[in-house]
Amino acid sequence: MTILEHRLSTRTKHGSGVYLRLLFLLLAAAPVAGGLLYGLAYSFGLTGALSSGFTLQHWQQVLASGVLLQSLAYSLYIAFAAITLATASSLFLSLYFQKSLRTGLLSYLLYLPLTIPAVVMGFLVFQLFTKSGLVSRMSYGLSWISELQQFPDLVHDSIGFGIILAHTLMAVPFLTLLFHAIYREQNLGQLQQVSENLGAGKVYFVRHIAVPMLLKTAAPNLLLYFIFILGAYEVPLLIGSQQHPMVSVLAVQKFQRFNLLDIPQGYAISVAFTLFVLLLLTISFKKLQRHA
Amino acid sequence: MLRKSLTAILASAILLPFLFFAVLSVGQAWFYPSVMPQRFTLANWQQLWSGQSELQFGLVRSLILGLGVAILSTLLGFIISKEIALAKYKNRWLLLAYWPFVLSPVVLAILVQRFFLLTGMSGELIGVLLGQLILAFPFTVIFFQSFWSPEVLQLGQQSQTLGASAVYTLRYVLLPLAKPLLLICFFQTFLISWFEYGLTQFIGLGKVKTLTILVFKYVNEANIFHAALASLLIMLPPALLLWANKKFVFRGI
Repeated sequence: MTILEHRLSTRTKHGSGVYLRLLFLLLAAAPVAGGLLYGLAYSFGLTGALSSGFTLQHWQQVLASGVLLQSLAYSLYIAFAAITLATASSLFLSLYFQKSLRTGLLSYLLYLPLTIPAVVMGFLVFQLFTKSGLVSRMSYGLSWISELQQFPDLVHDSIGFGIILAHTLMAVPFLTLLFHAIYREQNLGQLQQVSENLGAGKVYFVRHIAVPMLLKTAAPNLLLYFIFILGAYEVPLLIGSQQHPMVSVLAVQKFQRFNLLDIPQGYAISVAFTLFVLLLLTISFKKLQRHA
Repeated sequence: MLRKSLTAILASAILLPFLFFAVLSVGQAWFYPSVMPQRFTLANWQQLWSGQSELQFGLVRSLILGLGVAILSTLLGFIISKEIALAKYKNRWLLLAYWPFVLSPVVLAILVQRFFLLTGMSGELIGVLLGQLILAFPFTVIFFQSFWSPEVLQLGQQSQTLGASAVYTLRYVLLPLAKPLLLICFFQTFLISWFEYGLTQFIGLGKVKTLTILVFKYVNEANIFHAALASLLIMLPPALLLWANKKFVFRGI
């Protein structure tokens, strides 16, 4: 151990470091751990207004009704569809508009959509794609439809078109900038020249070198973004289907009903979702590390 | 030619939300099938600047929360991230920092709601600030890990070995080195608060009306003109800041 390391570790053990770490635990870990324990206790009937001792009743109700599994499956479908569409679009944009992203108009403009939060994006998609929205009005003006009812249901629909579109639109600028940054950091431009000198065509370079490298490097970010969409609340609340709520919306719905017996179910859903996300993260990061 | 056309389409799509909300914010009636509102007025904007308007209060509340969360989380994150960087099991500590960061804010709000109810902070500005801090603080700890490299730590140590006090080292060695990152972190944590909806709604019980809460409220009331104005108020300040500081703000990410 060097003198420096010795001094630093001594300070960590006996100095103010202990208090700082406690503060870290208090602000970062305690809310989640405490909340999870409280949620678990509530969902098992150990606490709460109507608690009557340990029971599996609330978990059984949530699992037997299938509402949690349906909601989780629907959330996974939305997140998978949105991240796939966004990744494909971003790969195209970052590879096709290399120059414009480096020095041209897009190098400035592409940062602007990052200033649109989920609630505003939900409102925007609603105003554009609802039956009386801007696209419907333009379609009417172009005589593509002759009345409002002919415009398809693109928001509040069961296949989640609106939610997928809103999340794709939010993800594309971020992922494009990410892929562009990776492209520069990994010197893919030079690799392209080398591959061309060795006789590879542009399509071969994109398919066998650029795309795999970009996806592999961006994998942790893609995973985190997938989880972000999985727990989305604002967009599905604004433009989602009433029959198919995403998990976060379902959990909040249970809390906002007048029936007090729904609250333990709300906690059960929240705890189950939290554990699912933590499990997904742990497994995925281990796999990613193994393949790194 | 194709590339230029596609660039023009892309640029238009990017600018569309800003133009669309700008037009709606000065509109008064928008009947189907008109593409543009029937009447235009500055009344909505004038209401914003007149005293006691809901939007004005929302803007001020969002600013207070954003600045409060940004200042507190950046300062705490800068100091505590050093301890985490020096920790023996650094990765395990960092894993804890990811917990609240990866959870849906509204699910996190559900889990911690009891604490805020017990302490009487539910429905209060301070409660929302603390709730948003739970989201922003772990982010700053992760964010500053890249700063505490062995070189920086040694530099601080050398300064103290040469006789400088801890305060002097912090003020004249570490803070100047960290200044760009501190500003980026401040900006990003401000945005975390500025854009937050789910946790604010749940812990604030709908009483702490920030701009995002107002957008939702106006949408539910079918008042699209006020919702558009509130949306613009959310988007414009960070957009202007980004436009001006693009290279600076995103340099270290």
